[in-house]
Amino acid sequence: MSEPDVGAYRRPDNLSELLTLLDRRPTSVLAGGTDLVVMRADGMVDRTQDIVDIKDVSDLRGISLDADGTLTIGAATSLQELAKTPVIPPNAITDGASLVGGWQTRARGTIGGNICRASPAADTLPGVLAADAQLELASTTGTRLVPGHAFFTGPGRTVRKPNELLTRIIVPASLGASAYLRFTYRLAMDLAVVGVAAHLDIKNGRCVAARVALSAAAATPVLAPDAADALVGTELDEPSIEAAAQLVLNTATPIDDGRGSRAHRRTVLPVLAKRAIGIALERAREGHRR
Amino acid sequence: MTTHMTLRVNGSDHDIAVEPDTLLLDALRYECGLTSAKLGCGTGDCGACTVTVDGEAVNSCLMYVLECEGHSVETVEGVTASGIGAVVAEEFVKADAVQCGFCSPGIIMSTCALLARTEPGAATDEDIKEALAGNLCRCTGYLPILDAVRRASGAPR
Ligand SMILES: Cc1cc2nc3c(=O)[nH]c(=O)nc-3n(C[C@H](O)[C@H](O)[C@H](O)COP(=O)(O)OP(=O)(O)OC[C@H]3O[C@@H](n4cnc5c(N)ncnc54)[C@H](O)[C@@H]3O)c2cc1C
Ligand code: FES
Ligand code: FES
Repeated sequence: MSEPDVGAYRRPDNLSELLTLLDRRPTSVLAGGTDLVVMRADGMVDRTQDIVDIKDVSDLRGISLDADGTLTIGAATSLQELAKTPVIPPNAITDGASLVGGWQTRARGTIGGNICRASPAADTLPGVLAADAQLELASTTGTRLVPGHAFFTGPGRTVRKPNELLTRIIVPASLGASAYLRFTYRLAMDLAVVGVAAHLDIKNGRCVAARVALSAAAATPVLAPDAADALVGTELDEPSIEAAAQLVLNTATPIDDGRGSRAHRRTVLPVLAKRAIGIALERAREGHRR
Repeated sequence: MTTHMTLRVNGSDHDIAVEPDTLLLDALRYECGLTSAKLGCGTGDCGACTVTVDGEAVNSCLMYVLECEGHSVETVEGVTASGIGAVVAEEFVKADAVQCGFCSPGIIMSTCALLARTEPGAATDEDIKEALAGNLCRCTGYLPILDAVRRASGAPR
């Protein structure tokens, strides 16, 4: 028996043609390819599916800031562009983008790919959750917005339907600042053993809202509401941060695997949380608004 | 399904036959006869396959060649023929930054991309490490490579 043909390669230059192609039959969306090329070669993705390259649709790229402070990131924006953007000060999403792989990985890899691959250890996802971002999914029948915290359903799984494209990441204006940190054994080209993003909204020296999110600590990136709630109302002094950071363990359900044991992950998580909250606070004091 | 495309490499157009998922790396090696880019890991981890596309360093093992239609690819065969690329190659030799040489084409391409985006002498050690973190070398211990890149960065262009 001969092998079935591999799918065709297509590169439409406008969104409506792209969405029509996704609607017609099962397709593999190709953004930077830093995950997809390997997944197809490994048989994790069916090679008979057509490959639809989204990089020529210019609406899907770029970072823009509205007058009201809303930030919009095109799904096909490269991680390198995000890591180096002059549009916004450093924040949990750009921190995550700058940690992915090596220069070559970030030059090709996109934030949309990082989100749709939905690895529990992915580095931009805690930032997306901590920023309370909305993810816009488009298909030929319309668009819908899904909050980041409701997008991920398991390792590699999301609420996105096969005919839907992630088009934009919409981040609401913020009164404060954020940061993302991860623990790895090497400084580069390594995957998070665990990671923590923290976002703080501060008014008159007091924390008025907070979100803390974790990577590689559960089957999906997750919010840690107990830690966040413990920060609200405090002046973000050392003891309050220390106590709140410990509460990430109420949410974390890490596994034992090649990159770390469950016990090690639970030891590192509160330390990282404390540091991430500390960096977010420092940035807020410097006047960052992200 | 085999199709034909034009691949622009080192300023020349190559008319080549490709499958929908032929890798850029394989097209360079087997269709264009340019063997500087190497297959190390095939998963984006080692950087031995690094080339530039429109001046940006990329892993050619993670790209389909059809993604390059309408774009411009450079490899070591092209960039070291003259100009700053030739200086980079010379500094690598002078600094003993080449032992087995398997990593060298990729590292030289990452270096050329770095120098193209920085002013002469402006690349800091941090910039160099950021640019080369995706390129592994099993032989040199990296210090001679850092030396070579520092010197090439300082050279007039
Ligand atoms: C050497 C190496 C190191 C890496 N290190 C890290 C790391 O440190 N941290 C980390 O988080 N990741 C890492 N990664 C993984 C990868 O680089 C990122 O997940 C990257 O963001 C993927 O983006 P991409 O554009 O390349 O996605 P692609 O490979 O193009 O796509 C990934 C998946 O998402 C789908 N997809 C992509 N865009 C869309 C869209 N707009 N709408 C719908 N579906 C879409 C694709 O169909 C595919 O299933 C690494 C990868 C490599 C090769
Ligand atoms: S062969 Fe491409 S990165 Fe190793
Ligand atoms: S010189 Fe041998 S791998 Fe670098």
